[in-house]
This record gives sequence, structure tokens and C-alpha cells, in this order.
Amino acid sequence: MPAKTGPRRAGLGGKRHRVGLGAKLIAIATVLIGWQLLAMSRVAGDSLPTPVKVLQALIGLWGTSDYWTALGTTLRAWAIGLALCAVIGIPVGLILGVSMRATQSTRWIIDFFRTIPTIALLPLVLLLFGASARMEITMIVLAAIWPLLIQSMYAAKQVEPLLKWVVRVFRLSPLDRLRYLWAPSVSLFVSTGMRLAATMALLMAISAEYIGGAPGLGTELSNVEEALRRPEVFAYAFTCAMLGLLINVLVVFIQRRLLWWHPIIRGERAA
Amino acid sequence: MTTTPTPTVGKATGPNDALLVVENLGKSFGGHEVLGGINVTVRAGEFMCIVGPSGAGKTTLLQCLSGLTAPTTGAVTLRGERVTEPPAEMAIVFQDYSRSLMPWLSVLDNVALPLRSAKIGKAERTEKAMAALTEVGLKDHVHKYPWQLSGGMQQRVAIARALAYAPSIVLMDEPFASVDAQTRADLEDLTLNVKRHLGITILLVTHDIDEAVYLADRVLVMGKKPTVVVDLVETHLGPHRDQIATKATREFAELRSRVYKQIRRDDLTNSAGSIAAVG
Repeated sequence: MPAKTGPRRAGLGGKRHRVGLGAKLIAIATVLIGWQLLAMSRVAGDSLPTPVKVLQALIGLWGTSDYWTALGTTLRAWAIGLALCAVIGIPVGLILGVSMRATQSTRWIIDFFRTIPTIALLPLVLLLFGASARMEITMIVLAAIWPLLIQSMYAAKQVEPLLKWVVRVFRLSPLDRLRYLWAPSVSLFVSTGMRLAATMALLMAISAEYIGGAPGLGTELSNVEEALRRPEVFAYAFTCAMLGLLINVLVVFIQRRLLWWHPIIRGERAA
Repeated sequence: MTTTPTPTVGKATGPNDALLVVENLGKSFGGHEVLGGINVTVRAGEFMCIVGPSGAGKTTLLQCLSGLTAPTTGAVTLRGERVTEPPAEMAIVFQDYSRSLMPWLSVLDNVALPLRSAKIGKAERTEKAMAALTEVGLKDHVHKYPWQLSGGMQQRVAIARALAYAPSIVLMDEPFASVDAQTRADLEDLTLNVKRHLGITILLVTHDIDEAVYLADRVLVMGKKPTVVVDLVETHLGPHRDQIATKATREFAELRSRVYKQIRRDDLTNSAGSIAAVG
């Protein structure tokens, strides 16, 4: 038994094996050097800019307002789209998940919609809303709501049956049941759904901008591409990648803060 | 804590009056009869143990008594009122402490949680939870989390949670079946002390004959499925019991063998019946 350590500390220490920062830096350096060599070789010709040129282009873009406006626009559409996914997907998923009958009768519809490549719906949504933020947000919801919905359905089935009895025996109000039983019980699966949805929402945001022409990073990417400014193309692509990485790190951080008590997060099996 | 006189319990009910009345209680699951018409009256302030072989439907009986499951036939009444949902003056301690406590709440918050339905302030909730945790000897562990405690301590938390709710009757479903022997004896004595101190009524389900006789004022002996009452044994072992001295007395041995024979006899007649049915 961990004697006097706080629960948070006990949760995050655990058995996880940390690789030193040095090893990670070596891996990154190797990739960059490989890229530099490839870009300088004849194989790539002049279609592949060197990492140094990309970095220069990126720093150059940081000085322009276009870059920051595009970044802000994309993030805004992403956030609104993701929020809509959460507001619709989580409650609907939980409600469908509570009842076995509802789960089974809706399962095939959900599987059907989920397997449609969302990008195939772009022309339709484009006809409805034009090359606008509304189109982009609609596309985000259509793409990212499924993992959240399905994770929430499973989450509802994870609630400990004995605890459902406990709250009945102690006559907790519906609101207290929601707060003290349901919310913590479903948080692991729902937050995993959020993580998947967040990544998918960003992918769809940039795709909708790039292909559908809604304003944002995707449009800027398309513009510099048409102008054949290769280092800038890479700089924008790099921006999108960093954004994706950052969002993932953020969601994992929140998940760990929220679920420090969970057996999976604290890194041990429940007795 | 040991010599405090028993305070009088409950509203209109005095000691030895009927508190929980079970009439012709039957339960079937899809045509499969588990409980076959049970009649028993639990008196206010008594410690009743329900003992029977494994798989005798003891847990199902407890669920019906608490209103968690609706019976197929018959009725349960608490102070004359029919039980359809868990009543406000009833608390339950479940067998599986690792699943019945909330891992996201501290020990104190787990124990204070039932008091949220009592519509009292946070300070008073904390005070009552602390009192209950002191009663079970856990006042130094209130800020830990259930999963940081041993099994026996976790079950103490579950007992404290039931006590904090200030019930007049506590149902316990095999509460000590998942802890080691020494812890089990400690928890049995703790339960006896708490019962004497707070004057509550306890209805405890167990498969352990020794435990039933040691704890109970009356032992309700159940047969195999479909379960009926085979015997109701008054123990007369007095209010103060000791794991060694009490269990060494002749009365204890006699009670133990009487209960044992009842369960055995029922076993034998049942298997004889099934052999006849096959032949």
C-alpha cells in the first residue's frame, strides 16, 4: 500500500517506463538529417525543399497576418465542430447505450453512416452551404461524431451495476446520480472518444478547407501550392501536423487529470 | 463504546415489535422458482442472520426485502408500509466492497454521499460521516481512497457509509465473505459492537453457520431452491459475545449442530427427491 503519497502522485508515477529525452532528440535529428540528405540528392530533384528552407519559410509565415488568421479560423471551426459533436454525440450515445434494445436496433444504422467516407458527402454539403465555415463545421460533425457516439454507447454499459444499486439504496437524486455515478463512470470511454473525435475533426477541418475552399489553413495550403511555393507548402503541412500533435497531447493531459483514480490510469489492476 | 445501554429505536416502534414483515414472499426468474413463499417477521432492534447453503437464493431474498427487486408473489412491509423501492430508513452493505465503493471519491466523500439525500449542509454531512468513520475505527484514513485500503478496511468504509445514513435497519449481504479469517472475526465483533452501540436492527445473510450463530439473536435457516424457511432458531447467547469464549460454550455447540442438521437434512431430502424423480 502506498503509505502517504497523494493519490495524484501515486497515479502518475507507476510502472510506466520513460525513455530519456536524449533518445527522442536523436530520433528527431536522424529524421531531419535524412530529410536534408534526400532533399540535396538528385532523387528528389527540386520538388523537395530542405528542412532548413522549410524552417525559413515557416518563420517567414509567422510574420504574416494571413498565417495567424488562417490558423485562428481553422481552430475556431475545429472547436465549434468538436463542441457540436460532444453536445450531440455524448448524450445520444449514452442514451442509446443504456438500453440494450436501443443499442441493438440502432447499431446497423450507425455502422452504415459511420462507414460512408465523409469526404464523399462534401459535394452535397457544399451545395447546401457553399465554401463557408458552416460547410466546414457540418463536415467536421459528420466525420467526427461517430467515434464519440460509439464510445459513449460503450461507456454507458461500463457503469458498475452494484453502484447503480448503491445510489438507489441511498436514494440519491437524479442529479446526484448523474454527478457522482454516471459522469465519473463514463469518463474514461467518453474522453477516449473525445480524443479520437478531436483528431478526426482536425483532419476534416483541413480537408474541407483544402478541397471545399472554406477559409483556413487548408485554403492557404492550396494557395501556396498553386503558387508553387514549395517551402511554404511544407511549412503549412508542418503547422497542421503540429496542431494535431498538440491537440492530442492536450486531450491526454486532461484525461489524466480527470481520471487519476481510474485503475487503467493509475497503472494497476483493481483487486 | 461497549457498555452504552441500547438506545430505543425508531418512531412508534419499541424493541421486539415487528419492524419488517415478510409475507409469503416468492420470486421466480422466467418460470424458475428461486424463493418459494417465505414468511418471517424481523423485530426492531434484533440481529437476525439468514443462513443457508450456497445458491439458496439468499441474495435474491435480500434484494426483495430491500425493494431492489420486485417479488413475484407476496409482500414486504416496513412499519406497515409496503416496500417497493429501498426505504429511507434502510441501508445495505454488499459483499463486494471493491465494487460497491466509488473509486473516484475519498473515503470521507464515499461515506458522506448518502447524506446528500438528507438535505443537510456540507459541514453537517462531514461531521456525521466522520462520526460513522470513527465508529468503525477509520478516522485516520478519511482522506485516502478506497483502493488504497486493504479489503477489510474497505468493508469498514462500506459499513460506515451505511451507518452515516442513520438507518433503523441495515441489510448485510455476505459482508465478510471476501476477507481473510482474522479480519472476518474483527469485522464480526465490530458489527456486534456497532449494533449494540447504535441500537439498530441488522439482517445479515451468510452461508457460514458459525458466523450466523455467533452474531444472531435469531437465525433463520433456509433450505435449497426453491427456498423456504426450514427453521427459526433463537440463540440466547446474550448481548456480549467473544470469539473464543462464546464459541466454546455448550449452547453455541448445540445451536451450531441444530442449524447444521437442518441444512443437512434439507440437502438429503432434496437429493432423495431428485433421485426418485429420475427413477
